[in-house]
Amino acid sequence: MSEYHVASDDIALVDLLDRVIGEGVVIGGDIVLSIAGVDLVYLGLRAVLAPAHVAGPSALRDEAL
Amino acid sequence: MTVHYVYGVLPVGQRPAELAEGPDGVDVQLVEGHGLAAAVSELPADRYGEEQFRTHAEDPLWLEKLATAHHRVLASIARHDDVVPLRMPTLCRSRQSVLELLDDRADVLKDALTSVSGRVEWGVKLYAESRPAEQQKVEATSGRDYLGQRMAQGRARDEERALRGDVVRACHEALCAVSVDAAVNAPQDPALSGRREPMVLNGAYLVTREDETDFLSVFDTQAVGPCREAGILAEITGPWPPYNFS
Repeated sequence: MSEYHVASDDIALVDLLDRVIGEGVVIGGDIVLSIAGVDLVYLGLRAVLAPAHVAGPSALRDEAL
Repeated sequence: MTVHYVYGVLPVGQRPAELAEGPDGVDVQLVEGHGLAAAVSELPADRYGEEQFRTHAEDPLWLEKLATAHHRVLASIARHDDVVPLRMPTLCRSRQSVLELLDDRADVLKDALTSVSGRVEWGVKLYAESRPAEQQKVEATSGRDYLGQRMAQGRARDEERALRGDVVRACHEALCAVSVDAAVNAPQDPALSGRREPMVLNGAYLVTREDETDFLSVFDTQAVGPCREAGILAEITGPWPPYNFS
């Protein structure tokens, strides 16, 4: 099947951060180093990556069409 | 001082066929326990500790380096084997706390492994290539005529918009039919994507490895073509580790 892209120049940064920061299992709690705090700081960047006002199941954006 | 950076979780006893290096060429090791294996790098805390992530949380260049390493490790595993990606950064204090993480979250992680087993993620982004024609100048002979022409233009724009909406939905549904799961994400910000066209679909699809050829062929025939006719640009990325489905 198609090759996985691993070099950053093959992948748009926005696609990468969208997934690496925006998705994946979130582990919280005492085990992890104050991860909730770090997560909060990321909210700034994630807000840019994924504007909340257009999030949701129907991101088929009629207003943009 | 070091931190244990966790990339993702695999089934226990499965040495991945490929395992790339972490940031700065650091080894990736498997920490096994509770029927699971965590892919982990021990990194210097003064470079990759909690404080560093806090400092650089909105620094795209620093994040790109880490995100690239994070993805490189997960993609190397996912090329041949199952893996559940964890969100960047997942930092543990010690090897012992990695084991506690596996113990605490064993049920969730095992369920996630089951749902992504033998599957990969593909991304499909649709952009509205050109906006509906701007309001044309109306040359009217009377007020009534003017209003009539304006309303006709409005109807034409609404119809075009509705048509595009139908095409986007049909495209998403066709891709869903060859996937086992799908996620519709918020459109990416033009400031980060560098794209001026509005993104009208930011979809992720979980596809069984055996069905990847079908998925790509559906993308070619049922997304690219109909979208182009409706003034929509279709782009595909992947395969990705199943970031959206774990």
